Amino acid sequence: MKLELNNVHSYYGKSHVLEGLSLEVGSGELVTLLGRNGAGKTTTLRSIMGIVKPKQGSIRFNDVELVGKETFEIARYGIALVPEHRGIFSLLSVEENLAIAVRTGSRWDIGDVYEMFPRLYERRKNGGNELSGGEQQMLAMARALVNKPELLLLDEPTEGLAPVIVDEIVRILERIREAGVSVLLVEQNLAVCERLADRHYVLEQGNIVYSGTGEDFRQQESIKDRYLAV
Amino acid sequence: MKKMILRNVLLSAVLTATTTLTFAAEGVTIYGVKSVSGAFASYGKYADMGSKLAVEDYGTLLGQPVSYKTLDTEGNAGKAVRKVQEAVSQDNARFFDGATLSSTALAIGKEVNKVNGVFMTPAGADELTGVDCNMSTFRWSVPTYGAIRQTVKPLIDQFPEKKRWYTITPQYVFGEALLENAKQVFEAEGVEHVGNSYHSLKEQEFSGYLTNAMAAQPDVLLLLNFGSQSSNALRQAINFGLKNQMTILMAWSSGLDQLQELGPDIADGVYFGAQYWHTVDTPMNNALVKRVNEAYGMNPNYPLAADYIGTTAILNAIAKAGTTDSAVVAKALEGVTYDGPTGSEFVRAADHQVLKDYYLLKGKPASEMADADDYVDIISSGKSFPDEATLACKRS
Amino acid sequence: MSLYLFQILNGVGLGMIYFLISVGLTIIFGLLNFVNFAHGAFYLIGSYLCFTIVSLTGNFWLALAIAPLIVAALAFLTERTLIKRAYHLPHTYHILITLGIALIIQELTISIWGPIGKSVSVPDALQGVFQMGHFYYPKYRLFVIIFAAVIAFALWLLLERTRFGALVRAGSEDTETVSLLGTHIHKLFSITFALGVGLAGLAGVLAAPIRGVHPFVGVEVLGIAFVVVVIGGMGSFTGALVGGLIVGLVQSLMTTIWPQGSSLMIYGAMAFVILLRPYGLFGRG
Repeated sequence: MKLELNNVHSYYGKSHVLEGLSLEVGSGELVTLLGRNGAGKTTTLRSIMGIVKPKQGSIRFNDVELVGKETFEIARYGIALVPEHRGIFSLLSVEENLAIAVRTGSRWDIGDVYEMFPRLYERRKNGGNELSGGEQQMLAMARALVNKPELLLLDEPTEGLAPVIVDEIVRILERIREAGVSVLLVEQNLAVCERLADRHYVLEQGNIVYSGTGEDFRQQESIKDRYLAV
Repeated sequence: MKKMILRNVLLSAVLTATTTLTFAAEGVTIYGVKSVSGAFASYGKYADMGSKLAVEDYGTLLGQPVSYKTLDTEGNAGKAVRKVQEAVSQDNARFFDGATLSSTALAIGKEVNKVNGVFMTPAGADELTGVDCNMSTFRWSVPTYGAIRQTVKPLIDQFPEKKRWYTITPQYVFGEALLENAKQVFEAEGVEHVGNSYHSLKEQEFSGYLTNAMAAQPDVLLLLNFGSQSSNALRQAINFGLKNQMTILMAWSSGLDQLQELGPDIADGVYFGAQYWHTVDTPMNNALVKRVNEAYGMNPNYPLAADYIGTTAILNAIAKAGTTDSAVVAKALEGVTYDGPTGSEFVRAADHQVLKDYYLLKGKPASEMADADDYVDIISSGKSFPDEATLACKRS
Repeated sequence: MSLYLFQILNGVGLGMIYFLISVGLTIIFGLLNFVNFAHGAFYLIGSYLCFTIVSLTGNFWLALAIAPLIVAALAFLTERTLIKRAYHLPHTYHILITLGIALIIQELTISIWGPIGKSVSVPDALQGVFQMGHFYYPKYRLFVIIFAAVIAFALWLLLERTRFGALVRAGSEDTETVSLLGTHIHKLFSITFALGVGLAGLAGVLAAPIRGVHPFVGVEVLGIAFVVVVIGGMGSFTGALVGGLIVGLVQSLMTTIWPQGSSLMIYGAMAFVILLRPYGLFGRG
C-alpha cells in the first residue's frame, strides 16, 4: 500500500487552502499530520477522499490516480475516512450503522469489532443519536474497520474525549497498526501522536513545513513551539 | 414634369386607398372562440372542427369567400377577452362563434356587444339569455329550465311510483339554477325531494356524497353536475352498487364524447339529458352526420354540431341581411326559423335564445349496440322554455 | 352511525391512495433532497398504461403488475438523463425542470390518447358490494384498502429491515458519509427515484376504476401529494401514511359535516399542523 500526494492545490470556495502539498504514507506506517487550526489538515483528508476536488496536483494510491474520481470509488479502493464529526447516522441503530459499512473480505467482521468495542455490543440496538461522544467515536472507527480498509484516515479522533477514552482509542490504533493497516492520523494531542507515530508531518498554511521520524520529532522543541503552540 | 410626378403620386395614393378599402370589404371572416388548448381541449377541438366545416360548406357569401379564424381561449375568460379585443381592433372582427365555459361566454358577449357584433354560443349559463342578455349574444343550447323539464318530468311520467329523489349539486350559480328548476318540478309533480348534497367545483371524490344519498334511500338519484365531475360521480355511484338500488339521471350530459369516455358498462341503464344526439332523425342532422363522417371519419358530437349550426346560422343571417354590418345582421337573425340538427329551430327575438329540443337518453348494454357509437336510445325530447312574459332578459 | 362508518372507510381508502402517491415523493425528497413536481405526471402515466393494458388484454391484474414497473423504468431513465443533472441546483430549479417534464408528459398523453378521458372497469372479481348485515361497501374499494396496506407493510419492511432501506435512511440524513462507506451513491439515488415514482404509478392504476383516466389528473394529484407531505413531514414514511390518512379522513368526514368545505378543510388541516409543528408531524428540522 502506498499513498502519494504531489503538489496538491485545493480550494475551499475562493480560499486557497492547500498550496502545493506533498506527502506520502507507506505500507504499515502510522503517520501523523499536525498543525494549527485552519492549516488545512481536514482539507487534506477530504482531498484524498475526493470530497474536495484538487484543482492541481496528483494523489496516487497504489499507483492509481485518485484526483477526479468519485468519493465512493476512492473508498472502494480501500481508504476509510473517519471524519471529525464522526458521521454516525442518528436514524439508524448502532447495529445498522455497522451493517451498512460491512464489505466482505475485511480483516475485521462485525463479531471482531464487537469484541474490540464491547460497549458497542451492549448498545447495539440503540439509535445512533443515543451514544455518548466516546461511543460515537468508537462506532465510527468500528465502521471503518469492517469496511475493508488498507488505509485509515482519522480526523482528530480524540478531540473532546475523556482521558480514559483517549487511552482506549490509542490502544485500538496500536492494534490496527499491528494488523498491518496504514494510518494517516490528524491529531492535535501531541502525547498521542508521539506514542503512536512512525513519522510526523507538520502542516502550516497549506504546506508541509516539517517532516521527520518519531525519534527526531521528540527532540524538536523549536518545531513544536513554532508551528503547534496555540 | 413636376405636374406629372404630382399627378402620378396622387393617382397611386387614390389607387392604394381604394385597394385597401376593397381588401377590407373582401369576404366575411368568422372568428371561432374555442378552447383548443388547456383543460377543455377535448371540447374545443371538436367545436373548432364544427365551425371550420360550416365555413367550408357554406361556399360564397355576398359574392365573397368566407374565411375562418380560430382564437384559442385556452379555457380562460381573461385570455379569451384579450384575443377578442385584438381581433376587433386589428382585424375589424365582428362575427364570433363558440365558447365552452359560461364565464368565457359571458365575458366575450359583453366585449362583442361593445362593437355591435354578433356572437353565437352554446355555453350553459342562464344569464347569457337572461339578466346578462344583450343585442349581440345569441345562444343555441337549451338553458337549465328546459334541460330539467325535458328530463325530470318525462322520467316522473314514466315512473310515477318513484317518488323519492335525491340530488347531487355543484355549489355555484349554474348548479343552483339546475337545482332550483328541479325543485319546481318536484313540487309541481308531488315528488319528495329527500335530500341534496352540495359539492365544490373541484371535487372528484364523491364517495361521501353518495353515502349520504344511500342513507336517504331515494328511488332516483339526480346528478346535477357535469363534465368530469358527473363522470366520476356516476362511475363511483356504480362502484357503490347504486345502479341496482335506484334509477340514476344525469341531467346535463355532453353527449357522445362523455359516453365514449364512460363506455357501455357504466352507461347501461343510466338516463342522460343531452342537447344533441347524432341519431336524431331530422333532414339537417342526417345530412350533417353524413357530411361529418365524410370529412372527419367520425359521428358528430355535441360541440361539433353546436358550433356547426351556430356558424351556419350567422352566415345565413349575413346573407339575409345582405350586408356585413353586424348590427343589421343581429337584427336579421332575430325571429328566424331554420332547419337545425334537432329539427325546426327558432331564434326568439326577446332574448336571442334558440328554441330547440332537449333530449332524454337511456344507456344500453354493449350487446345491444348496433355500432361503436350506439350508446343510447332516445327516450323523449321536446321544447321547454319559460314564457316570454317571465323572461329575465330586458333589453332596451 | 353506519353513515359515519361508511365515511371512515371512504376516508381510509382515499387516505391509502394518497399515501401511495405521497410516500415516493417524501422519500425522494428525504434522500435525494429533490423536489419532484413531475410526480403527478407519472401517476398519470400509470393510469393511462392501466387503461391501455386493460383495453388490450381485458386483464386488470396484468395492468396492476406491469404498469408500475413500466413507470418505474421510465422514471429510472428520466433520473439517469435529466434529474441527476439538477441535484446540485437550488430547489427552484428542481421545480422548473420537473414542471417541464410534467407538461411534456401531459401533452404526449393528449397526443397519444386524445383529449377525452377514458374509463377503466372494475375487474370482474371485485364487482359489486361486500355485504355484512345492513352494512355494504364496494368490494373494489375494500380491495384498494387492503392492497395498499400490504404495499405499505412491504415498503416498511424494505426501509426498516433491509440493507437497502438502511442506506436510504442513512442517505436521507447524510449522503456524504454514505459515499465514504463505499456505497455507489448514484445507483442508490436512481433506484430510490424509480421506486418512489413507481409507487405513484401504482396509485394511478389503483385509482383508475374509481376516478377514471384523463390528461389533467396529474396536476390534481400533485397538489394533494404536497399537502400530505407537508402535513406528515418531508422525508418521513410514517408521515406519509399518517398524513395521507388524515387528509383522506378529513375529506370524507367533511362531506357529511360540511360538504362545501371539504376541499378547504384539507388546507385548514395543513395550516393547523404547520402552526404547531412547522416541519410536519414527523419531519426533522
